[in-house]
Amino acid sequence: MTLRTAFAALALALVLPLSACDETGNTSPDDVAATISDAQIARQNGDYVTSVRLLEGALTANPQSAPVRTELAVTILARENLNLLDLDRIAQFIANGVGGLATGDAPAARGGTCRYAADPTATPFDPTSVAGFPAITASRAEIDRVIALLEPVLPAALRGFDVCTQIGADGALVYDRTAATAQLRAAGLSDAQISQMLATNALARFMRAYLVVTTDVPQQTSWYRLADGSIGVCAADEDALITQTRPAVETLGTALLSLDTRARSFGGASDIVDLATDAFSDIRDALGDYCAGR
Amino acid sequence: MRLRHLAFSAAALAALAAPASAQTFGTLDQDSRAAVLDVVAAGRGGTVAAIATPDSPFFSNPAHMAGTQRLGFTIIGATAGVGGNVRETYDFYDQTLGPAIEEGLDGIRRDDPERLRAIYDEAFRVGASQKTADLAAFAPSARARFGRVAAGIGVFGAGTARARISDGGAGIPFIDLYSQADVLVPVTVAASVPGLPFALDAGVSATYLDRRLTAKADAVDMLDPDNEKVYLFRGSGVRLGAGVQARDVGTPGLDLGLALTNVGSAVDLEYDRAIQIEGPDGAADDAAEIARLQQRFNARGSAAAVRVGAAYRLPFVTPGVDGVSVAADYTSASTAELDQSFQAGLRGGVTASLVGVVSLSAGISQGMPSAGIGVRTRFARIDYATFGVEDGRLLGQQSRRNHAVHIRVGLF
Repeated sequence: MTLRTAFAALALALVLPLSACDETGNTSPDDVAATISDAQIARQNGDYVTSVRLLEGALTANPQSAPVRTELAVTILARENLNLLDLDRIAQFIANGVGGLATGDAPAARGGTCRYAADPTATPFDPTSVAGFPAITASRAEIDRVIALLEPVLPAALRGFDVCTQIGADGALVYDRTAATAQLRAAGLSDAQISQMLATNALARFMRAYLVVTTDVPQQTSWYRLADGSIGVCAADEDALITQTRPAVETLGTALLSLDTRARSFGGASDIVDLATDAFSDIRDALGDYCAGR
Repeated sequence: MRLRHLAFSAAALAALAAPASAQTFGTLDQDSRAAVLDVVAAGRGGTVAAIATPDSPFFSNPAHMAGTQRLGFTIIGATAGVGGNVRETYDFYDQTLGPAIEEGLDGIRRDDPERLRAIYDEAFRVGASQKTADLAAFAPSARARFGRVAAGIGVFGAGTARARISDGGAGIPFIDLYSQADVLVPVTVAASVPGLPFALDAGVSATYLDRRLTAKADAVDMLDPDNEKVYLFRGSGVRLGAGVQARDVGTPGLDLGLALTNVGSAVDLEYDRAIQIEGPDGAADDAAEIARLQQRFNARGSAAAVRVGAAYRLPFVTPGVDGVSVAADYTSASTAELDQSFQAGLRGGVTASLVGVVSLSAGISQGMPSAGIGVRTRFARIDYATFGVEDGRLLGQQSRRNHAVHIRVGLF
């Protein structure tokens, strides 16, 4: 090797790193793990376009991949800027009236058959006047997409919640959590991904349920904050209301199952699950005749 | 229809957050290696396989020990370095996040949720890139040559801290902190191999490693300002290395180097003790957090690192300038939590000495420029380097700029 040849070889080696000719964008469709890593980094950098593009490509190549579906669902919600603060804001608004828009509360359904209309301590409110509601409404298609992405990932035990039968007498949820967790792990999800998937599924389903009960019910409803901290809802046809909101109740129940699995299998706090289970106990009680008649 | 219990607590909501990253710090290999930051090599892009530094015989290529003059030793030395947007992060914590935590995030959430969202958004922006701090202490080390054989031993302390903030997966900032402190005792033996058409040195090393580390990874709302601990884990092990260096291969001045380092099993870490950060002494340990950390650290591997490189020593440049070398390396050692691309393993650099006292260097490491300057006398050395590190899988994904300074006193 001559000096000139040696120097040229070294110079070439030095130029290589400068070329920036790395593998970005050229990841093999089969290399799911690498694609997910790249997508996560892009998301962390706020580059949702790249993150979604990578994951969409991976999903096309691997339509059954639970990790890809999970990462894409998480990224879509992040891109839509929907997060737990929105859920918290809705919860606070419903319970305490904090965080409402300046448009004012809905008129009360005074009179008629509404049992709360005559209650002087009951405060009527419009559930669609929570701050940020238009943005949530605008993201409905993406919320539905997230749910659709995660639906095949969810084990059977975490789907199809039945409010009449899946809350036990002791208030505990009745489902096979162990089998559900095992199935998720068998699908190739790490524990961290399972936690994320369950949280994302719960958030998306809560949002969808809220949109259903506030915008999809074909009859006018009246909402009240009651003196004991409860929420009262009236409609001209309450039996029809039960039927009309039943999909939303099931959606919320599925969210609850995800939260319960996450809390009890992966160490998260279970306070929220206990609170939500209490709320569902109320719903079941409200549906008492309906459930008894089945 | 009547419902109750619809008000969810902020803590319960925050508990939904999960780390968005596939891995938290310390689960993969880049912190498992037994080594100290080599500031001299960093200035020239990290090239070190075929061109020696004062510490390369211990940590990069054992064959370099054969180049030892009759006797050399370090009495004491130290290295300090920072990486990433440390200043911006400190300002954000000092002026925004810290006061908000003191004020109570739960109260801010209740009274001014948009302010909390703004704080979280800023936390994501500032915290997305990794911030690092590196410290190293150089206790006495010595090296000596006996004919064709040279040997050296040293005692080193090395500490690394990492921090970042990511989206917890549902909009809650997830803080990931990692800290590691090592005591390293390397022993290296090398010899010149006679009878070849070029000079060949070969060496082996064994490094005793005593490691302590801790980590804190939690959603920001879950950090308890009244009761928070960090849990220390400790373990020890031995790492082996071997290397060769061929000099004047084919043409005068062309050197080649190959080294295999960090050979050995992962350190088996056991829970050591807790340190109370906030709250009263004597508070109970969080057994679940300890178990999670144990599981996380046990998942870390310990891949051996291969480094191969070439260097060309220019015979003469100009009066007052000597020791000019051009070098290129490839290393398999990932600098990230992920396996990296081939390009991320490439290094290149050039170094020169001015009037025998000042050394200047420049290079490219992982697609980012580096530079270094040093003042070297027979009894003291001081070096500064700025260099890039890729924290992502591919070049340019998560680039981090670093600065480090090194000083040592001894006989060189």
